[in-house]
Amino acid sequence: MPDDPCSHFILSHDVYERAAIIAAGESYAAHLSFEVVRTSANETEIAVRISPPSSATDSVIGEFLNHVLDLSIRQKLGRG
Amino acid sequence: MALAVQQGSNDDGRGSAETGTREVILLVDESIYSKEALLRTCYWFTDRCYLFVSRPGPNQFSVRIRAKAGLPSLESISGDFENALIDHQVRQDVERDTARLRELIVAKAFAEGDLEDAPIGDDRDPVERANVPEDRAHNKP
Repeated sequence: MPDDPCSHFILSHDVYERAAIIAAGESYAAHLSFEVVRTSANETEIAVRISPPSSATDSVIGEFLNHVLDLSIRQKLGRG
Repeated sequence: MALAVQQGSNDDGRGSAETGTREVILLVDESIYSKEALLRTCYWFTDRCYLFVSRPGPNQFSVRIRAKAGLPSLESISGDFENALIDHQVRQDVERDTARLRELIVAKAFAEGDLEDAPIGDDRDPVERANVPEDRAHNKP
């Protein structure tokens, strides 16, 4: 595992909606914690942490990012 | 082809059980594939793989695809993803190109339907019908 168990992601608002990031964070609160490092008009940087880190860390983060993407697409394409 | 594919090992060191996980990065040229086509494609693939979409530069999207455990190989998924992206883009192009034609066909179908004909049977409200004298009831307008 890396020294910093925190994974950083820069989410472009062209693809990811701010509201979707927050909603997905709430949905995954039992599995991970995340914080918004910075946000601008074009993008939001988030730090995701899973404690304790495990072999499933990549999968959980992958599912979390997929969920953000799903919610964002639904919002952008008007599916919910 | 506007898809540049990079394939290699995930060496970021996260997840001991998945250190051998490979990933594919597709660079999508937005002048060929619209954002909507890309997003629709992504929407259909989040159950099969892990996706992360970023913007490495203007008019370009980067899609990182990682396989989920126990699901088809990464090569198969990324190939399907590329095909689906083409499908969605073609559907969008055809839809745009034929929009006017579809409008005309629908308009013609309604025009030929002669929808102003009186419906078969008595379509009046039963209460209203009951209040109309018997001799008038048989002489509908």
